[in-house]
Amino acid sequence: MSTPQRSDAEPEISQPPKVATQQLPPTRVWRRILMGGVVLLLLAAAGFFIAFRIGPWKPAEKISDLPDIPTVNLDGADPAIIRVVREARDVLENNPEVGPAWGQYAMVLQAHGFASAAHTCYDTAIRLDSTNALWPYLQGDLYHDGPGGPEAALPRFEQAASLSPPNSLAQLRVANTLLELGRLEDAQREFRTVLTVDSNDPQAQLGMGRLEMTRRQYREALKFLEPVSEHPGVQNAACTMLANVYDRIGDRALADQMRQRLAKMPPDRNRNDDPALRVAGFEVGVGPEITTVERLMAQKQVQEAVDVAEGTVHRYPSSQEAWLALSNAYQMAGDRAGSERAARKCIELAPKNADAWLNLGNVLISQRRHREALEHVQKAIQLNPKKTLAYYSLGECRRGLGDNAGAAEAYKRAGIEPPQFRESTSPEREPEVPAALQKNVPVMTFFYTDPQPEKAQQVLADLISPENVNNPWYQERGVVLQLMAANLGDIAFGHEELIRHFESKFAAAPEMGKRIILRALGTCGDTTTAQVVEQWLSDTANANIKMELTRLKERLASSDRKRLRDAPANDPIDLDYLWGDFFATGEYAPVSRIFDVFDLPNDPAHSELKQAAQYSAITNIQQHPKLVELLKKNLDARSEGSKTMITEMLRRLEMEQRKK
Amino acid sequence: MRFSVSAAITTSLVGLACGVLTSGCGGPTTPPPVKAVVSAPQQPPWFQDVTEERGLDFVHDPGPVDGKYFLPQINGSGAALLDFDNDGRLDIYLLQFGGPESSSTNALYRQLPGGKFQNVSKGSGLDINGHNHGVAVGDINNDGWVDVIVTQYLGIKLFLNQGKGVFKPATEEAKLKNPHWSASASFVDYDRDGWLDLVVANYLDFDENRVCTARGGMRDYCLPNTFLPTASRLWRNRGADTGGKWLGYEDQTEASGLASKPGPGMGVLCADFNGDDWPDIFVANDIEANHLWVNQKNGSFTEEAISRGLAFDDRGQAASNMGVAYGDVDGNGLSDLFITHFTNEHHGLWMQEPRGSFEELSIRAGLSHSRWHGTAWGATLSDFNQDGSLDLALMNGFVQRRDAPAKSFWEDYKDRNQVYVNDGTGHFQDISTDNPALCGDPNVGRGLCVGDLDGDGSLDLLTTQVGGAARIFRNVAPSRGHWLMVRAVDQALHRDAIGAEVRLQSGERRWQTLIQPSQSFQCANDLRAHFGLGTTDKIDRIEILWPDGSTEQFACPGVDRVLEIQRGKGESVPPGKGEKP
Repeated sequence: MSTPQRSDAEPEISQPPKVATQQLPPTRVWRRILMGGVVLLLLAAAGFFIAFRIGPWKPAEKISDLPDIPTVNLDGADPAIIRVVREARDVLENNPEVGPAWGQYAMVLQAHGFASAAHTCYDTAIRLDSTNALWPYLQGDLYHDGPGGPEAALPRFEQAASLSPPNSLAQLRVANTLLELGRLEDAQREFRTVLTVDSNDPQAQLGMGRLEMTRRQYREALKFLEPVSEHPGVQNAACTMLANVYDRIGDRALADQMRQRLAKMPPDRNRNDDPALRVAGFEVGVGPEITTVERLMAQKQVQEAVDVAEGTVHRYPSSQEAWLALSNAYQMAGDRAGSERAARKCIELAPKNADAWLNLGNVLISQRRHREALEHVQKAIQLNPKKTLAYYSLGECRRGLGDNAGAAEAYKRAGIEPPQFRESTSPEREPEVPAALQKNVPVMTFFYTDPQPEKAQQVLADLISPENVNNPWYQERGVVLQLMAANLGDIAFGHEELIRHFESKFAAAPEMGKRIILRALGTCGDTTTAQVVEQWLSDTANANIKMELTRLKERLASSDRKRLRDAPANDPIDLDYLWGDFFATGEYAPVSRIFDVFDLPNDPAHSELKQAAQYSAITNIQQHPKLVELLKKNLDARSEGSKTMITEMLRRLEMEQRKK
Repeated sequence: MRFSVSAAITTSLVGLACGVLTSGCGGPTTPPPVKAVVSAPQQPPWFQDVTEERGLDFVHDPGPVDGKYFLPQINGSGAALLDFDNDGRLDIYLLQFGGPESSSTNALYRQLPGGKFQNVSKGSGLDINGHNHGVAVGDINNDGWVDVIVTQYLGIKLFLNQGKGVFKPATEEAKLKNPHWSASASFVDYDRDGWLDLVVANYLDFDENRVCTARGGMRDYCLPNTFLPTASRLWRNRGADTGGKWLGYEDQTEASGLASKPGPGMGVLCADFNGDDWPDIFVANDIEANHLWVNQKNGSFTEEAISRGLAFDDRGQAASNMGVAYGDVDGNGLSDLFITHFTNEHHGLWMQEPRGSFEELSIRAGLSHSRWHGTAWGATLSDFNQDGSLDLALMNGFVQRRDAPAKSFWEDYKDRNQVYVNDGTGHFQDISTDNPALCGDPNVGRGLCVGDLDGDGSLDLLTTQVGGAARIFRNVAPSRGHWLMVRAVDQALHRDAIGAEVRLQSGERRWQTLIQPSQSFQCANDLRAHFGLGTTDKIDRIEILWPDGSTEQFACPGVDRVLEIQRGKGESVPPGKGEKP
């Protein structure tokens, strides 16, 4: 150990440490915090700054018998960890008689698993900063989770509680620790102390419930547990205990009901004032950040998980694990494009990592792109043939491609029988996405960037071909054809030559093809179309689609005929049509209707529509510079709700672009 | 999240100065001394290390320590106590983890008449190398000789005992295939056809390319939640053809329903958990909800861990469930389930009451209050002092490195074992400090086997550790009470009745024990049922619930002896008239 010795020649501290807190504008500190990066030096400085300003600490007298500042072995550690540990240590070396400096170094050490060294520092922090409950609390936590367990932790929690209000977390920890130690009467007294101050304290109620259960006083336990069974901080624990209580008192139905609730419940959330969160806040390094992402995802805090994961890849752009976590977070957030991008980046960084290939394969499976997925999954298996779960994905790919026998073999190798597999082995095969769609969706999505009429003609030809319209994939997805047809109508709107082309393909088209053409003409048809429709109506060959023809005829004759872009969106499907309009024309009108959604009142009736608008906008804004341009150009004219939303989206986009 | 992170950190800054836990910056206090957690021995020890004098010289090879942190390595290898030569003395089989290229091979030790162990591995057929994790023993072809299953990282091996100390590899012949990371295994006759079926707890879909770090940022073994779990597997024993030729196994994992719910399985225990006298399958899952597969009596199982209270701990959290032990700790006539856990958790004791319903009551049992808190693997509920109630022993060892600089690689993962005494009510007290031989020196403990190795009627221990010596601990507990050991044999099947429940009655006092050698972690224990009787020197009757659901009563000729009880030689008890509490 090369612990530097404190020298008597060191100057006594009578001024705040020489750390330039004042040079850091608060906004910058906040931005760093918001980015999720914890820069210990700044925090340490800020901590001392505040300590000297508002704390009671008087660093005037010389203190003897200070221990050596512990060092830890950082060989092979993440550079970020080395940096924060060294910085905290530097601060402490300059201020060895300052309690919070010891405490803060202890927190940094604790955050990175250096328990022994952290204990030494907490001991000194407690000695030098004896009125601060934080240090004994955190040391108690460290004892509790270490080999010492609750026995070793209790004195520290008691010390922290003595410095805290009666309903503090420290008080609760004392009570819970006593309970763990089987000192039930003492634990009850401490829980009661908390409940005297706040009779609804969920942690205390939970603790009392657990205590009564330990006594096997189940009806007493009910009184404490039922009121907190829906509290997000304790619901999981409360419902588990309640299920047990109901079982014991013979109410099996309620027990089952409670367990069914449990099965869908996210983990309980920590209290925001839990000092353990502050230790976690000092954790740096890619590992802890990814753990945070995973925790947030488990708790269904999806946007938060995305935020942290984005920050992590920004700080660790070469970490395959970070990109993998980002891919998973995007996937959970419904941003498939983002998920795919992140997964591809992961492969780029780790081309020999089977997990990376498998992850991308799974992303593609989720998009029903089974053929592409198959290549990636096979690559994963090639890289690691022992990877059991890759065979599950292989099964999914094969099933998606209709190869049930191959799928069954793959599933067997995976040792897993997915619940849906029994259905899939039935004679009904899962159809693949039709080739016409695979080919033309990308064309249509960016049509406005190169609006050649020939492309639209080709799209129509592909769409109305018998092999396309007869594809069973459309049986439950007919709306896709409707969307594509409407899209063609948007493209042809005002283009007489294209409209005539569409009309010319009607006669030879299969019935579904005719419907596609009619849907397109419903948007772009003109007076000539009206005449043509009359002729089609008189043709007995069109008897099956007479209703559609009549409707089109009425529509074309209507004096107040409107396009979708001329009316407010009422349903998420309207948004799809509007986006199609934008993809076809590159115009602002459909975009404007989409963003009008954000000006609707914030009530449950509109939440689904708003959510759909938000997700689709976030995805498209990343892919269509033209959309960004239009939004910026028209921003000032927008109402408050949509203006705020657009501004935030643009800001995020800008941040992301800067990162890249 | 952004708000909460920033708010938490801002609060932290204030806290550093003033303490957010306080209502203000109050006056100074004197820090209380931290209570010493290890005290000097107060009672005579229960165990004495007799490894050397018994001639056991096995040292575990964990494979190369080459900076790759090969995760399966840290789970170590188990061991088995078995009487492979039918001489009435327990022999020992120990596993190695050196890998398929290693010269380290599993070792078979035969117990000689004087109690010494002789390495008879060479020529036994059991001396294989590989990544060997767990072992199960049982006579699978009903030929009167105990056979051996070895679970491996990405494999499984079956060896048929040919007698005369020779085992024949029969994995392919038996149609056993398990290309998964497997841990513990157990034999169970789940369809009551008289042939031992096999269940294997599979663990994780490990990827060697994943790089993990400890919290300090240094390379370390990955945590289990880095990888996805796999499904445990079940094979049905097909019995023999009319010519007596054994037909091997058939994979029933999917048909039975076990494939429907993957889990990171570590420990497995086959016992009747719902009180219908049919064996169920419990799988202890690491950091996930446990699985209880309840036998539907038609070849299929339904998973009922949540509804029977066995999925989570008392706070509704999935903990690091690893080794398992089963026994009636409070004398209420119902067996309870103990599961080992991680350092920052408490070990779980799920008490059964009423029949078929479990509740985690570790606090009540005193198990959250111990001398120290280790990461435990192997475990046993056994009556070491023979006072009539089951005590507890644990094998401890870490899975992630600690911060203290270590002298050698495995030093970082060492921990001390633990022993608890039961006061008779199901309340335990940690007496580890009284047992320096077993609990004094830290080890990277994993496997813990229990059995009467020296034939004195008390239970001894065999322990395994990662990268260290296997050790034998002789039971030297003072003032041990009376005892009885029952070997339940089904002569028609030529073998021990694995899955039978042995019940004793003396006045109002009752005991019951399940004959199930596959308990603990990756281990196989003595096939005989051991009872500590305290001052009871007369047993009114012995009742055995045989694996096929029939019950017989037997007279007990006396205590302090080993009884071999043969099926069909007792008084048949009509269904529903047995001593089931």
